[in-house]
Amino acid sequence: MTTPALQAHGLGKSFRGVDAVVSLDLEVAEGEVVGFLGPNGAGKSTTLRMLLGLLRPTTGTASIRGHRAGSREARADVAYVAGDVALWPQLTGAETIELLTSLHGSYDAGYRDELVARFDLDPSRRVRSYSRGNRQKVALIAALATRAPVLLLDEPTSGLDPLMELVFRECVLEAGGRGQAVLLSSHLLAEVEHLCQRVAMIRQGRLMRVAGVEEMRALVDVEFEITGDVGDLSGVAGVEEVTSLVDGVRVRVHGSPGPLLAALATRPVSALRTREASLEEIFLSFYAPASTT
Amino acid sequence: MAWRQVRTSTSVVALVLVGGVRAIVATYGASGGARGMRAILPLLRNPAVEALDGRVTTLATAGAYVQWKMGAWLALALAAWGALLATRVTRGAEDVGTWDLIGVAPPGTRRAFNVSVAALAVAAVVAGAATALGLVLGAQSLLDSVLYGAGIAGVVALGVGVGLVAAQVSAPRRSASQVAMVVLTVAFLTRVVADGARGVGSLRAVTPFGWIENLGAFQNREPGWLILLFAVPVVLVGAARRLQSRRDVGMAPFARADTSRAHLAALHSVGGFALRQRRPVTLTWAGGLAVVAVVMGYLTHSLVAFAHTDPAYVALLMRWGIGALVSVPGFVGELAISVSLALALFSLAMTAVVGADGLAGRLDVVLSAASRTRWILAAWTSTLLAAVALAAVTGVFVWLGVLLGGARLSAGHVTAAVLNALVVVPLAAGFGALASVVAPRVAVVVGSALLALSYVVAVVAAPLHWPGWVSAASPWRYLRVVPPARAGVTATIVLVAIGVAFEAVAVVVFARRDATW
Repeated sequence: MTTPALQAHGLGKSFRGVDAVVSLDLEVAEGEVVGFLGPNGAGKSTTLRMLLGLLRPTTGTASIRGHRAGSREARADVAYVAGDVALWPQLTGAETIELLTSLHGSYDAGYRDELVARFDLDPSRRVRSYSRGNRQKVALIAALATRAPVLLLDEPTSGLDPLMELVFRECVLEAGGRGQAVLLSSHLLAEVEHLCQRVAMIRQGRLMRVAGVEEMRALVDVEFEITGDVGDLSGVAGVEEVTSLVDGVRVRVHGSPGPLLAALATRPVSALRTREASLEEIFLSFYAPASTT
Repeated sequence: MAWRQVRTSTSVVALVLVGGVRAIVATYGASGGARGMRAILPLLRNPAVEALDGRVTTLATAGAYVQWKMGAWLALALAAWGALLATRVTRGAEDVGTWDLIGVAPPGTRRAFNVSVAALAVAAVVAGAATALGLVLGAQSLLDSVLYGAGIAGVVALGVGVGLVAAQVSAPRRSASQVAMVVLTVAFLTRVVADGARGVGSLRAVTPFGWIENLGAFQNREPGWLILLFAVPVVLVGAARRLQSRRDVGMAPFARADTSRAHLAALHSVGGFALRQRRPVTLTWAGGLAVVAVVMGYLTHSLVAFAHTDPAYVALLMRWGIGALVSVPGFVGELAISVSLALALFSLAMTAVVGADGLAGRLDVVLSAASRTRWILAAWTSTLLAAVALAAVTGVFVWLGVLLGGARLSAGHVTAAVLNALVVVPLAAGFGALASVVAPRVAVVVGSALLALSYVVAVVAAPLHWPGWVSAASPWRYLRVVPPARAGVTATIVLVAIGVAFEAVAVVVFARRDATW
């Protein structure tokens, strides 16, 4: 059996009696890009910091490629980008990248230079003169240049402009293609939808679900717009809501659309359109009730 | 917000002022009071001594003695403190982007500036009140105590004014602080020249450090100088406010260049980076210690020669427990003990950098790659190396000063003196490391206060005939005057071992705790 690139088992963390993360189980395989979603304060950063060994778990274990999180071996295998990057203001971008990559132990100097060009970073500027996005670029370049087997990214594009966000996406896809495992915490759901094979959703410190994006979609309602005089569909299994349109109906279906399609087979349908739920809608379906409480 | 940034150091400064002033009042009595002082007045009126410590008119009361003994250097230290507080709460807030947020809110940066000024004004008043309280507790004249306390408040306010203007014209905060320090140093040197050179005493009228001397508390009372001490800060605050309203947030007319050629040499290891990180501060300290060392070295010959002409003075020194000052090696040995306090404060601040970096959020990324143990050990060892370099610089310049002053001093004596000054360094560095991982927010302020207090206790315990247990906790109690004495091997080993133990505990705590700050 292959050792997961990243593994959390029963991972929990309490701060002064308040549970920040509770019994979290998660695995990320080599070459896999996993999105880590949740509202603010859900426990995403706490989980990542336990995987880095920066926080000591109250319960459970975290490991990187079979090594205890925070151990020398684990540190050598992981690279990290924080959401709000704080660096030494007097160092230049080039000096900071050199420091961070050197501390990691190994890095690809050619790839580093390529990344500097792709992210359009001026490395001669001192960190104190960088915008938030440029500081983010420095951290991203340093992390990616290490070619670490595991990348832990905590809202890494929160300061990047759309062009740089595209560059970031390319780099993450390339990293996954090279076999690097990526755990990506992000609020940009389109980004997660584009990059990630699986998504882990956390709420109030508890992991709600880990599944592929397609599998997630099956969990939420799908809308069908049907043109034609199809009659009453409200009694069909799975149909939650029917809304009349000028030339047909809009039907919201929960679960499998099979019964609806079977019912439509015998009716005069001139057109049928479906719209899959976006990750944003999936996200809202998971978290909206909690946010209203 | 601004008050939160200044309240801790203001509280500590106030406590140190009350305690320190009270202790100096006590040493006056223990030194024979007015009669004892009369015996040494000719020495104190030596131009070199007046240049260093200020003009001596009369030491007929303990209050006058406090004003002379602490006055010049205390005023400089407090003005520098005020300036550093000012650059911190204004330019520092701009550097980290706080004022970007404030600027868009209805009150705007103008209100933030006014609130900062108010907080700094409170700090100045508290410092002045603490000084006056220390004097009153020592049974000194209330009127003179208040007059001198007001002068101290004015000096702090002046430092604040200089810092505020520097923060408007220079960026980042470090540059603004340096500009303010240069201005205050020039003002102080003007006072040194005015007091030290004959015929230029009128120069005291152009420097705030001369104004507080001219105030004449406990002597000839000239409260009119208070007008300058308070009017100039008001003008400076007004100028800073005007400059601030005319520029963009975060900008400055004289900002340090934002681009630089990369210097990668010391960035490939934790240890290399630790050394590099401490290099700028070490160089600044080396410059300051070199100046003090060469001046004190130069004065050594005349001060020692005077002592031999006056048996009463020698007797007084013996009573104070500093009889070693009657020989050149002994004078240098005593000087090295004073330098040891500076080295201890430096070491504490340099190891506490770990906590400061953690609070700023800079350690998250590096500690996800580097070992925490290695990081904190590198902070300690690089601090020790920097302190050794500072001691070496001090030794060389003392030796040079002694030679320039016409005395002789062997290299062996200088080496022994600076090695003795280093004995407390591992302890202070270890304490700083431990404080930075246990209580990073107050590590420097509280640690510095404890070191300064334990030094003062060790110095005044003997002349005040305090019981042994009072000074037993002070590391300086166990330092001998080397030369002429030989270092106590057991005491040296114990002090270094305590420092190593502090560091070991810091390593264990840092390795086991969460990396949250």
